[in-house]
Amino acid sequence: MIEIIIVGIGGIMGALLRYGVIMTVPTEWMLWVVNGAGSAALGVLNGLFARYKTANSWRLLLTTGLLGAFTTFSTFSASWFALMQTNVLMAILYAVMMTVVCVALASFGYLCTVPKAKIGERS
Amino acid sequence: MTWLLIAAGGGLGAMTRYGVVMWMKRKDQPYFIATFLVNSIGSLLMGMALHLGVENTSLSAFFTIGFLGAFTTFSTFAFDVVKLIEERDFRAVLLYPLLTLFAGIILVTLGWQIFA
Repeated sequence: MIEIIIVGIGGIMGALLRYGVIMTVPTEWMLWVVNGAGSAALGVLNGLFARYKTANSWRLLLTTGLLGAFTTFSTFSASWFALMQTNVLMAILYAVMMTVVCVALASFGYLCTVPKAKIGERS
Repeated sequence: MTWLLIAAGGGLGAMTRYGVVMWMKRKDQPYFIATFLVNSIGSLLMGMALHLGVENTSLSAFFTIGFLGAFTTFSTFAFDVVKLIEERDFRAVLLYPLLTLFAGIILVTLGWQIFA
């Protein structure tokens, strides 16, 4: 029961942080900023969690809660859908690029912090 | 006032996502199935919610920016792929993101069409 409350608190923080980005960053860059930064941060955190023994509550608060809510897939689907109405090729390129960039950032963050010995180990 | 609605939606969205994660864990599904489910369901609901438009700003802030924004996740999706690379499951490295993107665009379109 306590777990779901921790995730909820993280979710509140993540959604508010994303709202902060929405209010300050131009609309066309908003998703790149939240999804890119969020994916990189998740990589860094997961690497750190593999390195240091961490209480599960911290994982739930920061990764499942905060970063899970800070980044978003539904708005991404919506913006891809909007692009699709005008330029199908651009829309597909946009979707693939967003995925490739975020995976690259997540693995870069992860490789920065994960202990060398743990690479390849199932988490 | 808007920020309060987004906070409430965000908290609820993240908790609902965690519910799906726990549910899939109990069903012994691989970790990426829960991510796939929340992102697909979230995209469908987003397609429907696009009709809320600008007339109902507070409801749309609560539901789209708050709830759906937090219910779906891109960071876990991206890290699922990193994990699959680490596990050297290269078929899934290609298939999982492609299917997620495909389901996302199909479902957001379907959601939009339902109320069109």
